[in-house]
Amino acid sequence: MSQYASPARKPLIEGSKTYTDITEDICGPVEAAPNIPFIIGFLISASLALMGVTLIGYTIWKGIGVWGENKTIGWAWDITNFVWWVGIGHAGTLISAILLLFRQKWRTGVNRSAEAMTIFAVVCAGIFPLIHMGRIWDAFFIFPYWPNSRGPLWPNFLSPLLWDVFAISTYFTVSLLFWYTGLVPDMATIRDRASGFRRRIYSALSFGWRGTARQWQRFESISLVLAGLSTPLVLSVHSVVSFDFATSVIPGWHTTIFPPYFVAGAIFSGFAMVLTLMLVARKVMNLEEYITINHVESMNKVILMTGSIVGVAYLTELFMAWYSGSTYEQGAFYYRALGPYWWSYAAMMTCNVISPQIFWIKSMRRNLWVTFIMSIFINIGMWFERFVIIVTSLATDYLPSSWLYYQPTFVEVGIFIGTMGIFMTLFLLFCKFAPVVAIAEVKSILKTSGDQYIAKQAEEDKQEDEFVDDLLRSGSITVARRNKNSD
Amino acid sequence: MSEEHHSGVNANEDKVTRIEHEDYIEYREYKDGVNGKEHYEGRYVAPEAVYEDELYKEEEKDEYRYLLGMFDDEVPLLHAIEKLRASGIEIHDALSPFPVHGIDDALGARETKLHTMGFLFGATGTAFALLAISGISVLNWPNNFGGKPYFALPGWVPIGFELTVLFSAVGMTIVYYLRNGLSVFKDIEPLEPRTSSDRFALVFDMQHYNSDADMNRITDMLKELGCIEVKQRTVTTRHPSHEEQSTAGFQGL
Amino acid sequence: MAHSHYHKPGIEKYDFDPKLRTVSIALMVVGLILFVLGIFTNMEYPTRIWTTMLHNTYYFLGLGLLGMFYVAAQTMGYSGWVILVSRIPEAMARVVPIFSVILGVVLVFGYKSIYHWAHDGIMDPASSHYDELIAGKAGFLNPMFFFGATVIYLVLWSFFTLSITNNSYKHDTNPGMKLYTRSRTLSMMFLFVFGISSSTALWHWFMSIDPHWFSTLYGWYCFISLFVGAISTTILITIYLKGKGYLQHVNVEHFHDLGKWMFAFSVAWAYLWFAQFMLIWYGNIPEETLYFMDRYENYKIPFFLNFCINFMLPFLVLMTARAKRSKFVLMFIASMLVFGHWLDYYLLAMPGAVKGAAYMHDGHVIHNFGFGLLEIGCPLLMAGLFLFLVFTNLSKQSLVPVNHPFLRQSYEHHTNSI
Repeated sequence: MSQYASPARKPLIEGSKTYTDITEDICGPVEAAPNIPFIIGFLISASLALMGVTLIGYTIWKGIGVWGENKTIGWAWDITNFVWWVGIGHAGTLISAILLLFRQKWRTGVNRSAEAMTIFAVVCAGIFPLIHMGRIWDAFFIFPYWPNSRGPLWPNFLSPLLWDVFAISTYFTVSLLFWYTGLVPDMATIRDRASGFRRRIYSALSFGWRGTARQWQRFESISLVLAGLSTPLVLSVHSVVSFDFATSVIPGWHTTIFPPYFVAGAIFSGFAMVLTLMLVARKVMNLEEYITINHVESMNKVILMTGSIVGVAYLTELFMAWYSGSTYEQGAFYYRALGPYWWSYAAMMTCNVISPQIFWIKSMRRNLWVTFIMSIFINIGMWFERFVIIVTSLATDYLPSSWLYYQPTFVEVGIFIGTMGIFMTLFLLFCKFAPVVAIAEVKSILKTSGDQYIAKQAEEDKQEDEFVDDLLRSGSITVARRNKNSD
Repeated sequence: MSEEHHSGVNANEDKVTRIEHEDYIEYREYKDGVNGKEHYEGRYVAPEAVYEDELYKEEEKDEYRYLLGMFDDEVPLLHAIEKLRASGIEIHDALSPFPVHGIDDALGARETKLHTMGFLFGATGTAFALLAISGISVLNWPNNFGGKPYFALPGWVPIGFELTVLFSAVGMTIVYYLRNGLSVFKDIEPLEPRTSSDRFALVFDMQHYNSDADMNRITDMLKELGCIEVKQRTVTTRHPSHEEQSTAGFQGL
Repeated sequence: MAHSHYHKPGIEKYDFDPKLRTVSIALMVVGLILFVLGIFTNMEYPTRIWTTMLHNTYYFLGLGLLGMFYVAAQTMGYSGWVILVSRIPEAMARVVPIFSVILGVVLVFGYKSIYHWAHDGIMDPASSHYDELIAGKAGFLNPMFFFGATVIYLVLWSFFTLSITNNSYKHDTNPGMKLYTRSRTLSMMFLFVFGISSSTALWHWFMSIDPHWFSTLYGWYCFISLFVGAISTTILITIYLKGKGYLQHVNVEHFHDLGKWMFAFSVAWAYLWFAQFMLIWYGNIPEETLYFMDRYENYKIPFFLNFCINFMLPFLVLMTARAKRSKFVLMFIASMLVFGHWLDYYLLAMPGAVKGAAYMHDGHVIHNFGFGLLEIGCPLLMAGLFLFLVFTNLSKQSLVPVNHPFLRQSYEHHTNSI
């Protein structure tokens, strides 16, 4: 049992909270009636979602000719959006799984909502490859089934697009299980405070959780194993997405750094989205004492680190393009940076590599407005990264005579905004009906990360030091316990 | 509470023996809810009726009484578990709002082997993926994709990996929900609703400790060990002991 | 408090065991004899001699450098549990300056033998050895840039390894938060420098051995390979010290966590290995597949051994908690991994260098795929030197960083606490 609250660490729960306070504070917003900002936000999101669904219906009805794609640039906004959403879907699992394995306690404040975000983002991502098929019912053919009624037409198991089907559906399933398994005890907390119809709903949602020692023992076991499984899974998912490009022989796409670089970029953009949403949520839902400025600072450090990794990867690519001696490779990067889409490359570099360097400064990491603006910047920058990779590589490929310029139509833009509406609608529903912060997990770090415990320990340590000093001064002990006196 | 039954017929084996010895007379004990008087009632029970089916039916109709020792912090709780067990008192179960470290050891609970299931399911997933893909791409209908060999192992790794994770996670989660007795349709009567918020509870089975002497002893000990409240609770569904939760069915999972 | 029994661990002195000192010196002597014998029997293959030296010098330098990376990363991540063993990677890090000098000497005298691009006439259009592709890379592959960059890398690495470890040692006698805060600043600066130089240095020193070939992942792959090696070395030294009765507060929980790191990063190594291999296999572009074909055809046994030792073995053996908590299992796997990643570096360096030298003998191609006295003697020599230096460093300081603010957390460490 590690209950020592090191005074060298910053508190993660402020306001001298007790277990009672934690329950009250986090269940409060779920139990209260929806307020005006919520209703307005929900109506806006739902309308955008409706617009998106309508335009998706229009695309399916008319065919993807209503998009701006042409014979050279066959992947454009749709796949850009797909990769962008999948990337955003990485932060949740990273926070819950990898940070769990690395014992980063600050994850407890944001993991639940980040996991929810993951699931909603993957839902949004999944839409794009499906509608890009044009004839959406053809999606049936990507699944292998037995007995095979299609003769030689098995899905191609060597196709990275099929790997994607497996990776994304596995990721969705496992994230859902991980998220909900963690949510069950917190649903039980709400159940036990509710009555009547509400109680019946939450009784079903909490699956009859009792909180017995044995249940918690199994809970910890499965959390750890699911974290252990999710960690390579989250790496594999964006690696597989990168294989969609890197297995080809298209200059600018075929490069071995793609898998880890896509993963770093996904974490980068995922954290940015977590910050965008949580900075608003903590304010609106009064969770400032649970998602503290220290949480924000930690996330900004992750953003700085992953942003720099992505930056190193950009420069590595540029260098290798030159070093390779391959004219096509060199050409691809020349046109990427200085060609017709130079503005997207410039936007990517500014938003992803240059601007996050502001987080080297501590006061900037702890400034909420700077953080919020930066998170928006990064969301934009990471969208442009995918646009740069996909569109500019296709726009200037091997045959200059077929080079074309791509422009999106209102349908593509509308569908993209629509998926944001779908995402926000789902996220707002989650905020309303489930605890946004993991109640049980926050309670389990209270003794080591609550501000009152850290303050108390600092006082005790100080007293012990003074006590030993006194003993040393009076000569009652000469043991080398105080090290400054030992050598 | 209107009426508290205490049945002589239940899963407890020595009680069953007692019935057999007393010529199949079952004694029922009633405590009058209004004036607290105790009533006794005896009835003849046919010998064959005391077998499992009958026992089970009786069990469903019964009410179960538990003594709850409530704590508001996990440190005295762990201390109390050790002290109580050391003095020979059997702890039926412990409830807490979050996983308390060291509680398994304190209760003497065995380790869970849930993660072993995860490994077995995962291995099944790998085997399934590789066998299925090789069967399809090598035996059923070999196709030339980009000049790759039919047996193109590096290209099967991604799907093999995904299915390993999928099988492992899904299989293990199913076992977890089954073993923890969790399901959408399960509506429980919590012994103490606050144990999901800010209370920790030690549960004692009052079938086991039914005399006033026992109760007083436990209550006194609990109070001494930092318990903030001791109370009784009657529910209609049995709360299985932590050992039963661990050993019933597949051992140790 | 539940932990009123906590007593701050005091300074723990380690005395360099005379027996171990003898062993390390014996390793150096035996290694040197074998190596010199190897040189005399392979005089006609200077490429092999110098490449072996580059391989082994950099490998042991890298173990120290990645030890520093481990400490710096844990410092930045506010890691508490690791503090009780952190003096071991710190001691490893202090070998960097000395190995840097050796590496510098090897590169100065050996670069013409090791690097095909440095051979005479390669960049000269008039020469029969002229290679247009390599000549196009002259901006990067030229002696000026090569040695200039080498000096910068080695000086920066030596500076940071010395200043971070000195700062940590100074903390033992100067309690307070000031030096801890300083360690965070230094670690941050080191990570920034290392994040860039760990890739670029390896492009210069190792990737350019195969001058036609290129891979964007190369730097990160080399980094993770040595990282596993550094964690394994830390585990081996910790187990040794524990066996001698030192590090009394290090318990099975610390070993469990070290085992988790070794397991996790072995998987991460396999991930990068697979990413690089699979993409090149899939793309099937001759310029790229050549690299793997060279290794697959002429170095078949090390090629497969590399993957089996560095991934299959730790993956299968270290999967259970019981294995990670067994000192015997950890010792076995860690020694296999130290060897395995040494082999990985052998495969990075030797095949390309030997082939590059063969190009120069027009008409009669001399391939020398040998593995003999050179490849056995040189690592023994370097390993002996490494051991001698690391244990000398350990004996100069306390084995426990007594004033580290997270020391108590490491002392009360329990693996399963979240």
